[in-house]
Order: sequence, then structure tokens, then C-alpha cells
Amino acid sequence: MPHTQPAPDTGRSPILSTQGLSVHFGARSALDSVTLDIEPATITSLLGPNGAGKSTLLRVFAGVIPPTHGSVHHRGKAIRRPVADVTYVPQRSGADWSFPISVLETVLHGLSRHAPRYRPFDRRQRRQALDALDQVGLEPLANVQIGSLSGGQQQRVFLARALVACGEVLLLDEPFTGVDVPTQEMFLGLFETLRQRGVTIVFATHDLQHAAQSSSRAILLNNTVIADGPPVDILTDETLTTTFQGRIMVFAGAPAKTEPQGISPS
Amino acid sequence: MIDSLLDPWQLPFMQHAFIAIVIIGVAAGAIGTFVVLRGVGFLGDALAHAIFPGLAIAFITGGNIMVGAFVAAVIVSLGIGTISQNRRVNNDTAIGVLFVGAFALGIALMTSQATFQRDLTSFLFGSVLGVTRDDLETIAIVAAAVLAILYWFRREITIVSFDRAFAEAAGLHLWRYDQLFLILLALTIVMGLQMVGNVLILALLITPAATARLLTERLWVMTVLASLFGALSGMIGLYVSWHWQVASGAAIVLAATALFFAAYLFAPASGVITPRIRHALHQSRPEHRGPVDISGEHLSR
Repeated sequence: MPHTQPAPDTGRSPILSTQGLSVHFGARSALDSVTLDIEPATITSLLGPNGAGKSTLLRVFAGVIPPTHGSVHHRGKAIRRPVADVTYVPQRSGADWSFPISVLETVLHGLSRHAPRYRPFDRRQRRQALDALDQVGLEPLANVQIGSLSGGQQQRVFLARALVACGEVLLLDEPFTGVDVPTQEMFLGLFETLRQRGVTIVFATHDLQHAAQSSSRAILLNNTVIADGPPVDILTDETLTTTFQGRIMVFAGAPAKTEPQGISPS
Repeated sequence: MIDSLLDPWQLPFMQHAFIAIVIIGVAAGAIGTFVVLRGVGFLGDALAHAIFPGLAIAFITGGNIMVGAFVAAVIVSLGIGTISQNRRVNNDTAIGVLFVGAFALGIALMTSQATFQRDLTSFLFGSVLGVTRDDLETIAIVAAAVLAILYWFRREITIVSFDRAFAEAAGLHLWRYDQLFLILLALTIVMGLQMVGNVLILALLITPAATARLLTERLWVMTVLASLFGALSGMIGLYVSWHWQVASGAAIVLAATALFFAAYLFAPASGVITPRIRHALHQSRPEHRGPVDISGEHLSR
């Protein structure tokens, strides 16, 4: 039985929801019977080991992967293709970082839906992109080639590309991976600012500390929902052991941290 | 000197050849930019060979050779896309199987004809002699269409080439843009076929774009440079071919290769030799040494 706590009754209808969602890739089941409501203007973290279905769930919300069974909704409307108001920030490793484009041009990709075909981006759109870069502290590097940035800076470019077009939902896949501590703190602060502006944020992570620090709700996922609720309530020895299949060490008084591979508790 | 540059222009067929190779060089450079950036050179090579049965059938039945080649290219590219959906057959394997199979089918069809010998050679290695005014018109129209479509969809093709996960989530249909790109590639190959032949057309797609990549970090600059180098290689190659009686396709490709190595060695930022020259100049100029402090460090740095 999942350890779920009822979501606080805010009187608002959910912005994203799934009902009995299952996703299969051939014979493999990536997600099984997931039923969730995500409230508007909240920060939710998805926690689980590799292959738990975190990215799959984000990609279902992004409208990229269709449910095999069950349904997924954005503001009560079934998601069948990518929705303009839902912005997805993929993992950094998927992009070709040797590509000959600048930081600013990459951020402008976020506006490509709105750009006319017959001419370049105009001054106002470039200003918007520079503002987004400013929010992640990269405006001075606007004209640098993306491949020459550090991993953390590349992740900030991706975040800026999402911010420039930011609708009401921001989905982030492993935003903290390979990112230094100051950048992590900048992201956490930015998420809170965006939430106060009414943006709903859902991010996938391996790191229990980030989940505990930044989100009001954590969802422990391993093919299905293991636990769901405020991090302080649901991040227990029992739920973590179930989620991470025993690959977890929790130190008393210290934030819990997942082990990369194969270290089992006694 | 001037005479040797103007000589070939006296003859109408050479005028046609010059105009055709400039048009093909420009289009192949622009499309080649994305072939290089997407790392799909093998696919380009495969398409250039796989159009052979289409050529053969058009040749035997007296149909339009460019149309035959184009239809074959579309069939093969769709075939590669379909077969590589099977998880036990990866993309390169699907390309390898279909490309050699189709090429062999083309050769089998060609050799079944009595007059194949001369024509087979001209398809494989190209010939500048045969470019008629009509061919020139077709080449100009196809090139204009390819460049216009590439410009119209430049953002989508760029995003799909750079970050597929983002492209998908931004609502771009990956399969559709991949196929669009393949069709543009096939059209470019078919266009260049007559001039440089299907064995060497790959060089016009890859080499000028690879040369351009060595010189810039900007996509649009790379595209423009690749087009310029494509056209320039074509011009140089034709002059060489004219003055030394070398096969035109080979001369064009060698010119492109020479430009590549020039950039590889002497590119301002990424060349192999340039930094050493700069270093040597820097060392030999006294004003750059500046005052030296007691530990021998240059104070001016």
C-alpha cells in the first residue's frame, strides 16, 4: 500500500493529473498504475533510483510519451501532444554540446514557436532571452559558444531556455546533476521565486537533500508510487528502503543521501 | 594567366559546367553543414549509392534520370527508417544492408544493358561534358527549392539537430523533420550526380562543411562558408580538369580536400600550425617581452 498523505485541500483544481497511468516500452513496464494530482504553484520532487520512471513521468506530462493505459490531464484536458504552457527541461547529456551556436541562440530556441519564419529574432525577443540569461546569471556569456561552458553553466542555459518561454508548468529532469553548489542554491532560490509567481514546478532528482530542501511535496517512485507527501513525513527508512531497493544509507542528524550503486544497509 | 582563366569560358558546355558546379556547390555546402553537424555522413554516402537502381530503371525505360534517382532515394531513406525501428537492427546496420543491396541492384540492372559501359562510368565519376541548358534550369530550380526549404525550416532543423529531447517537448515531430532533411539531402545528391558522380558527391556534402566548421563557432557563418567553399572547390576543380585533362569529379573533390587541409593546418583558432606560428612570433618580438621582474616573470602579462 503506498504511503500517501492526502494533498492539502487548497480548493484549487489540479494543474496536472494522472489516473491509473501505466507506460510500457515493449515488454518492459516503466510506470504502473500511477494516480497523482499536482496542485498549481507548488514545487514537487520526484525521487527514485535509475530506471524508476521519473523521466518517463515527466515526459508523459510534457506530452512526448503517450500513456499505455490510464490518462494524463493538464487543467482537466487530456494531454495528447506537447502543450505550450508546459515547459520541459531535458537532461543535459542529451544535447550535442559541440554544436556551433552561442548561449543566446540556444536560449532563443525557447521562443521558436513564436518567431516568424521569414526574418531573424527581433530586438524584443533578444531582450527577453537576455533577461532569462540574467536570471540564471549568464548574461555576460551570451555570445560564448555553448561547448565552452562548464556543466553547471550548460544546465543554467537550459533553464534559461525554459524560462524565456515559461508557461505555468516547468518540468525538470535531473537539474542538479553535475552542477556545483552555488548553482544548486541559485536554482533552489529561482524555483521558489517562480513558485511565488504562480509557476508549478516538478523536478526529478536522485538527491534526497534537494528534495527535502526545496519541495513542499516529494513523490517516491519506483515503477509505481511508493510514497507521496511532504518530505519530512514520507522520507523514512522504510519508504526509502522500498524505493531504492535497499541501496540507501541514512545518517542520524545528517541529510539522507542515496548511494550510487549497490551499497546495501545491513 | 588571365587567358588561362578565361579560356574555358569560350565554350558553351564549359560555361554550363561552371554555372552548374557553383549552384551545386552552394546547395551541397548548406545541406552538408547539417550532414556534418548531425554526423550522418554514412547516411549521405548510402543515399548517393542507393539511388543507383532508380537511375538504372530511368535509363533503361527512357524516363527522367533525376526523377528516378530521387524516387529511389526516398524509398531507401524510408526503408532505413523503418528497418532501424527493429531494436536488433541499429541505424548503421540498416543503412549498410540497404545501401549495398540497392547499389548492387543498380549495377545488375545497368550491366544487363548492352550500352552500360560508358554510362556506368559517367554515373560513378561524373562528367562535365553533358550539362545542357535544360539540365542547368533543372539544377537551378532544385537548388533554389532546397535552399528555400532549408531557410524556411532552419530553426526546426537546427533544434532537432542540437537537442532532440527538447525538440520533441517543444512539439516538433522528429520523424517528420528527419525525413524532410533526408529529402533535401537526396535532392542535393541527385543534383550533383551528373557533375561529380555518385561516388564523389559525398565529398561536396562533407568536405566544404567540415572546412567551414574549422573556421567558425557560428552556425550561419558555417553554412555560408560551406557554400562558398563548395562553389570555390567546384571552380578550381573545373579549371584543373580543363588544363590538365583530369576527370572533373576527381579534380573538384581534390580541390575541396586541399581547402580542408589548408584550414586544418592554418585555421586562426583551431589550426594545427597557427598557434605555433603565433607563439613563435610572440617570442621573437621584443616589445612583447616587456619588463621582467626579479623572478624572471613578465610584468606586462
